[in-house]
Amino acid sequence: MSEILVNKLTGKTTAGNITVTSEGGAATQSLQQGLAKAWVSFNATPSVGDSLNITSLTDSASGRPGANYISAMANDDYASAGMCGQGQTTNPSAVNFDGSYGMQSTASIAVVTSEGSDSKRDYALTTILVHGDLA
Amino acid sequence: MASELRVNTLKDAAGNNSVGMSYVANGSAKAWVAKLDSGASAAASFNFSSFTDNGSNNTATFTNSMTSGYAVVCSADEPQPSPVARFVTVFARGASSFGMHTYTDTGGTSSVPQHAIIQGDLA
Repeated sequence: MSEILVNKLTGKTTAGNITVTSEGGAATQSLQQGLAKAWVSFNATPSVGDSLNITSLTDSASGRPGANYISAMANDDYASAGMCGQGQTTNPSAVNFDGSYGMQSTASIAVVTSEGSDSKRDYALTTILVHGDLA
Repeated sequence: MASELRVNTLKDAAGNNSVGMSYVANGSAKAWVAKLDSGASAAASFNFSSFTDNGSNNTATFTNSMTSGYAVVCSADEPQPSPVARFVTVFARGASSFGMHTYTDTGGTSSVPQHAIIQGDLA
């Protein structure tokens, strides 16, 4: 079995681009572009359950938590997706972002957690996933 | 000629934090798109060749196709100046493309920007 012990991987031609072969073998893609740059799960407090590249959470209002990055993103044009829930409830829940209105920045991300009736609330579990370019 | 490394496992120099290449390949997102608006214009994306505005929804087409059964995780921006909940659904998920439709809480169509992250296997 082959094994590499290493602390840092750097592209040879371009430092920020390492290519990996697809599962089907028909394509290659950038390793860096496929890696999540941040993720976090937290409760209604909000208190972090586990995370990657998150230094702290913010709580600007009920249903309006946020997260600050350890390593900044390159710009505010990154993909963010999330879910929230409160056990077995009858109302649908949604995580929305302020990505187009200045609240998704290189340093942090603002989240809005809502019930289907449009009421903002804090949930027992909220998860956020961020993909894009690190600075 | 590009250099190529064939390996099964990566570890840090101390021999910890082991990750198999299958986790690197299978665990990496295969595509993502940020702020796909109602005009099918995206702020940034990875592994998408085009976006199509279907009127009430968008279709996203991959550069490199996926195999069947991939996962799409998506969210929408909060509309302003009246912040209310928005819900994104995925439809017509195929190897080369999929669609996203954003709804209001009462079932109406919303035009707020969409985000999506795709996990699964490339063809």
